[in-house]
Amino acid sequence: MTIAPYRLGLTATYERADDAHELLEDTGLIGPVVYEEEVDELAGEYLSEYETIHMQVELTDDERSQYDEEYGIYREYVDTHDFDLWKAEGYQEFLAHTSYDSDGRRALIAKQRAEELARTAVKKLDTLDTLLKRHHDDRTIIFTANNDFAYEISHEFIVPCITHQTKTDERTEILERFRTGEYSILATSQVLDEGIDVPAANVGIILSGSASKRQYAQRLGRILRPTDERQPARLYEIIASDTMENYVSQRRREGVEAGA
Amino acid sequence: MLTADLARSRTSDGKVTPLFIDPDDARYRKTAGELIELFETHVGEPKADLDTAIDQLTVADTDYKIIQGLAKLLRDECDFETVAAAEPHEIRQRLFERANDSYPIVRQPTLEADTRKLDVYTAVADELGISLAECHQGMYADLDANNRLVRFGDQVAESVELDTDGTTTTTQLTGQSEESYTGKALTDEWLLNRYNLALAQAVLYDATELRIRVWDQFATVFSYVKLFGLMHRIYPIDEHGERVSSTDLAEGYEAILDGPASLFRQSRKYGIRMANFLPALPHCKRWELTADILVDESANETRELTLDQTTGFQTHYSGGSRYDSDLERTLADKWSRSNTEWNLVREDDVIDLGAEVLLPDFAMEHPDGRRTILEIMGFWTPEYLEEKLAKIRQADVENLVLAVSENLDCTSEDIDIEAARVLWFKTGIHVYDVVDLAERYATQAPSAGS
Repeated sequence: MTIAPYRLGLTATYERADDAHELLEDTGLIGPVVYEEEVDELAGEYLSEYETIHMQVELTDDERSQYDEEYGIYREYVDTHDFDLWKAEGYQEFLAHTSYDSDGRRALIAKQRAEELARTAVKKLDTLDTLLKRHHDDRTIIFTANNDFAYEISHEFIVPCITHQTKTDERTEILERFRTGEYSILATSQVLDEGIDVPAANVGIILSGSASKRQYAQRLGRILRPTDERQPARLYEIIASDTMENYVSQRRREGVEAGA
Repeated sequence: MLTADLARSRTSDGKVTPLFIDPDDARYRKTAGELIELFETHVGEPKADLDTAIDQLTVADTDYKIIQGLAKLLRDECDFETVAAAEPHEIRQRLFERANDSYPIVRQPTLEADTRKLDVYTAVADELGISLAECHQGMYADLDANNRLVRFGDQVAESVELDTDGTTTTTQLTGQSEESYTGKALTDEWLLNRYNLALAQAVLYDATELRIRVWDQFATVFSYVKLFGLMHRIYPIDEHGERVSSTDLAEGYEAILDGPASLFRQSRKYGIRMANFLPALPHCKRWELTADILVDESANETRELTLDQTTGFQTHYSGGSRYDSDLERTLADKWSRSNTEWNLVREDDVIDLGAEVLLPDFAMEHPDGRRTILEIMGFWTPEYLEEKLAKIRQADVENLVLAVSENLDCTSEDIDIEAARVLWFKTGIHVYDVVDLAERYATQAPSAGS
C-alpha cells in the first residue's frame, strides 16, 4: 500500500501506434487522461520554435525496379488472401501464414526488402549532402532506423555515430563531446529514443523511421529542447516517394501535428 | 546450444515432445551440407557476409527455424575476432575530431572542398602508421557484423596468429568447452544428430528434476555427471528399474539430478552443464530419461519429457575413459610438485552405502597404510550438502572428506553450515589443506593379506 490515496502520472509518450494505450483505460488499470498539452502549444515559450520540413526523393531506376518487384510479390500475396493489414490482427494473421506457407515467407521477406530499399534510398544521401552544406555550423542529429545505414553515414560523412551496439563508455564520450561542441554532427539509429540524456540540437534530420507516433514525438522532443542561443529548430524528414514510407510518414505526423 | 527462439517442441497431454528431424532425410542432409560449405568458404570473411549467406537460404523456406538452428550449432564451432591494423575506437575518434574542423564533408563537394574527406582519412592513417585502406576498414572493424570468422572447427584462417602454445582459447571451468571430450568432424550427419540433441537440451533448461536410469556404461555416465558437477543421488536398480536394497543386487543405476529450473542461483550456468551432460547417455545400450519440465513458473506447473535409447540419439562424446575437470588436473599437478608423504590416486570405485552410492574422485594413501577418500563437489545447495553429510555419517564412511567450492553455491540463502569434514575453497584446492584433512580423517586400510 502507498500512503498517497491517488497518484498522478506524467508521460510524453502516452499514445501507442497499436492503440494499446486504450486498454489501460478500458481495463481500469488507470484513470482517464486529465490534462494534455500538445507539442505545438509548448513551442516558443518552453521549447524553441520549430519548423518541420518534409522532403521527398525518388528511388533510382535500379532501386525502383527492385522495389516494384519485391513490393509486387508482397502485394500479390496479401491481395490473394483476406488479411485486413491496417488492423493489428490482420497483420498477425499474415505473420502466422509466413511460418507455414513458403509463399507467405517469401512475401514477408519481400516486404522487408522493399522497406529496406525505401529506407536506405541512395538519393537520401544526396539530400543529406545538401542539408549538411546548409547546416554545417549548426548542431545536427541525423536519425536512421537501422544500424547499417547509421554506420554507412558515419563512414561517408565522417560523423560520430551511436547505435545499440555502441558501448556505454564510447556513447557517453560522444554525447559529452556533442554537448561541448567538439562534435557538431551526430548520426544515430533508434537508441537515443528513450532514457538517454541527449544534448540539445537545433537541426534534426530523419532519414527513415517506422510507423510509430511515439518514437517520432520523442525524436522531435529531443531536438526541440531550447538551446542557449534560442535558435529556431528545424526538423527535416526525408522520405522516398511512391513507397510505403508515404503512408508511414503520414501516420507518424498525426501524433504530433494536431490539426495540421 | 539453441537459443529459446530456435527451440522447437510441442506440448500436449502433459508431455513435452521435441520436434526431432530425421537425420537420414535427404532434404535436411542437403541443407546441412550446404550450411557447412558456407561456413567453410567464409573462413576469414566478415560475420555479416556469412549471416547474409545463411539468411539467403531461408528466403522462401518455412523451415527457416531449422536452418537457423543448424546454423547456430555451426556458429558454436566458430571463433570470430576483430581484425584491424590499429585500435578501431582510436581510429574513429581521431577521424571525428579531425573531420569536425573540416565540415561540410559531403558526397558532392564544391570544387575547393573536394579532397576534404580523403584528407581526413589520409591524415589519420599517417598518424597511426597504417594504410588508407586499413584506416577505412579498421574504423568499424570492432562491430559484431565486421568481425572475421577466424576459426571453423579445426579450420583456421591463415592470417590469424595463434598464441605461442598453439591455442586461441582457454578452458576455465569444468565442461564449459566441448573440445576436451568430443571427437569432432563437422559432417552433415554430425550436424543433424547434434541438432536433435540440441532440441532436447533446449527443453532441459527448464527441467526441475531429471530421473535417469542406465543398465550399462555406468563409469562413463557417472564420470560425465561428475565432470559437469551436477547435483546427483545415485541408487542401484534391478532390470525393471525398481530400486534395490544393495549394490550386490544391482542390474543398473538410477540417478536423480537436480534440474536448472529448481535453482535460485547459477541456473543458467547449471543449465548449460545439464545440457552438456545429455549426449553422454546414448553411450548406453539401454537408458531412460524422465524430466519434469517447468511450463508455468507462477503456477509451478510441470510437464514430462521422456527419452530413451529408441529416441535415436547419436553421441559425439568419447566414452570409456575418465575426463578430469581442470580443477582435478590442477590438484594432481600441484600434488606431484608438493612435498608430502601422502600419495594422491584416482578413486574409480563407487562408495557403497547399500541402497545408494557415492562417487568419490581421489584417495589419499599413506605408506603406513592409512587412507582417506576425497570427493570434490560440483554445484550444491545447503539441502544437498546436508543430505550428503548425513548419509556419510549414517553409512559410517569415516574416512570420506568433501571439497566444496564456495563459487558453485546455488542457493539464495546465506551459507551457515557447520561441517568438520568439509574443505571450503574458492578457486583452487591447496594441497596442504587436503593433507590436513587426510591426516585427521584417515582410517587404516585393511592389510593386503587379510
